[in-house]
Amino acid sequence: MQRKSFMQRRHFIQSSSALALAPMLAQAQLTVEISGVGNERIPVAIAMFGGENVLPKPISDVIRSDLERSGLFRLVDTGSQPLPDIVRPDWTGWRAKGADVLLAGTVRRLPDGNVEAVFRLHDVVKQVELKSAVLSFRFELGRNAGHWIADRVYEQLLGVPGIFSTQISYVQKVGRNYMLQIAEYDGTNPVSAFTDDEPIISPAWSPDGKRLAYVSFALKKPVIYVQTIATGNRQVVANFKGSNSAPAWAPDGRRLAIVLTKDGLSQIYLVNLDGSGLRRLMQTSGIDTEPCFSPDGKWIYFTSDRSGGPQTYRVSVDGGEAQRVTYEGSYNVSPRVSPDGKTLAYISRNSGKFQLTVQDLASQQTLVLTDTDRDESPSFAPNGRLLLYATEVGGRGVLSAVSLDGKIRYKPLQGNGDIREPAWGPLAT
Amino acid sequence: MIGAQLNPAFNNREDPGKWGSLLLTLFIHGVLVLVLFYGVQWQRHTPEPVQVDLVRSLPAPIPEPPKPVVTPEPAPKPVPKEVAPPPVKKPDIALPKPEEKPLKKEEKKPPEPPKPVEKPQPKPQEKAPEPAKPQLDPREREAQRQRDLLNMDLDRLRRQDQAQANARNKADRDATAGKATDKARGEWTAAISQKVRGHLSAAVPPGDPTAEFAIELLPSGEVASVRLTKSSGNKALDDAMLRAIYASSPLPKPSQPDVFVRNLNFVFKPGGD
Repeated sequence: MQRKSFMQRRHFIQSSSALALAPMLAQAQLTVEISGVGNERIPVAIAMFGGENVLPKPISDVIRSDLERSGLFRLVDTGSQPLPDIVRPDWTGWRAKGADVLLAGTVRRLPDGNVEAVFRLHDVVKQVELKSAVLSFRFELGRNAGHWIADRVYEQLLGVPGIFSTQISYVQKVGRNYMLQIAEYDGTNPVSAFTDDEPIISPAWSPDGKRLAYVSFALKKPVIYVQTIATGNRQVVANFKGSNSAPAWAPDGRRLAIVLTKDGLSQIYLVNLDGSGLRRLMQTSGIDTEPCFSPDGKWIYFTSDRSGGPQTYRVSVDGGEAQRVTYEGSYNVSPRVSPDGKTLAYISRNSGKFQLTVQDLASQQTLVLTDTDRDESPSFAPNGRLLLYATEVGGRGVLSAVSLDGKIRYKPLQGNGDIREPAWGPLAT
Repeated sequence: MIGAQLNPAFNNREDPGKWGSLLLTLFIHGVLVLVLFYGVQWQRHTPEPVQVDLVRSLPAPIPEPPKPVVTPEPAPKPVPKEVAPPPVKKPDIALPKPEEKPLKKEEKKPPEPPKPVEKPQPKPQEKAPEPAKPQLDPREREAQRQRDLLNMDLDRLRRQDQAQANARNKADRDATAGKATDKARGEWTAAISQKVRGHLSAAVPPGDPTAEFAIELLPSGEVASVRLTKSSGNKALDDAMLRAIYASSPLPKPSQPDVFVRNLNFVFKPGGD
């Protein structure tokens, strides 16, 4: 009896202690904070595609150079052994080489002369396929196919679209000639859309990427044209008395904001693509110029000297009272709004240097992104992660690019003569 | 003695009276001792659970937090365990060392634990009635019983003292152990954070994204499951964090095993320093 009662009591003690522990266990979840990242570049292995030497330039080379150039990936050595998409990857081996992600693929020539490429993107850690696709393309477009695959990899690993298939335009001055150039995102394979011995400035891509608006001095004064890229056809949009400049596309692609001096000082007007429906946005006594639509099409950001030095303001597309946007410093020009509408890029003057600067529109925090002193013409990459701008190196105009946090800087694009007036085209559709 | 002097008639029955009173005395003593025993035993209720619980099981419950989860199951467990091995999770958990102990303890409870825990108490009580019965005559048995009871009393007092001393020591130990535990816990989370961070390869999008994951660990430190509880808003970044977690498995183990918990909450702030 004694013993039994002991046992009972003991049991009671145990179960009561278990009960007492239960609530503790419910909270027994420890929080571990992981601040920062180990590597800012994602380690990717881009294996040689099986059969890729049917192409003049191996497709995996194009992909590797795209990803490497972005500054966001670290290329893991893949050796010289092709890895066709159908082969099951050696997970441990790739992990041991430090790859987080592996791209494998196969290229083959189709009977009709076109080329087909299959790729598979693998998560080496979780040992799962992240993405795969088949694409067929004309033989001479192998490089574009490489860009296209690189874009898929980029988007899968960064969550925003890649820009390797996009185009940029810029104005190159060689000798006395001005050339409006259209090139791949990194400046390769430029093609002249328009050449003249008078200046060309302010190219701007239509939202669908099919047309360019720009200002040409061909008529010995600034006139605004819109040119269809595929056909080379160009039309005058604004040729009013005085200066016609700084065209900016509305997000719907149906009208432009432009700057005219026909009524005196520079003022901002809205105009349809065929030159009809001209409407003055504001009646001010100062200079208003460099308009830029917000991505939602509701606001126009612009530069104005109404408070003295040039600053950025914004006004509703329906007109009304303008609000000042930039306050830091005495000289802030050439505003451009990021594709997500959250960041403003502009050129600020700091101790006599003209530098690319960004401002968070919500917090008004600013960040000077460059250490050069003649920056001009900022243009956002369509994924909002990079800024392309013109600057001077050794007295010559070059294009440069930088990430929005200033951490990644790209090798400047140089060419014969001066390169200026960059504009980054929209995402390929 | 007084009675004997006053009444000589009693003198004749001197012997029987002596024995009777002696027996009575012994009996009364016995009763007193019993009363004392039970009285003290009542009081002992409070200190005893403290002693048993804290001294005996102190090392156990903390290193094996899952124990309570298991505790309610000891009865049903043997059955499914022998009949059906399919429950995948349980065997997994049962295999690694720290987890195994509590399970076994529960199963072998009847034979093993009573010994260390209850040894001093049940033994003397059982010894008293059991060996006495066959060997001794009633008187000696009674005497033996008295001695036993007295011994038990002494023993009990000793143990009360001991319990108090233990409680004091324990309080002291708790104070220092608490600090040591906090330190070990801090070191553990820092080691985990460092390892996971080292495996996190990501280009951090603007806007200081944060994400949270609920991690379930095996006692070996291996990641048993990961659940995204708060997305960073960027699936690719969430994926990168997930890769970092899996790539970090097994996670470092704490220097003090009692610091280990199975459920961790990872808060990623990749935009931080």
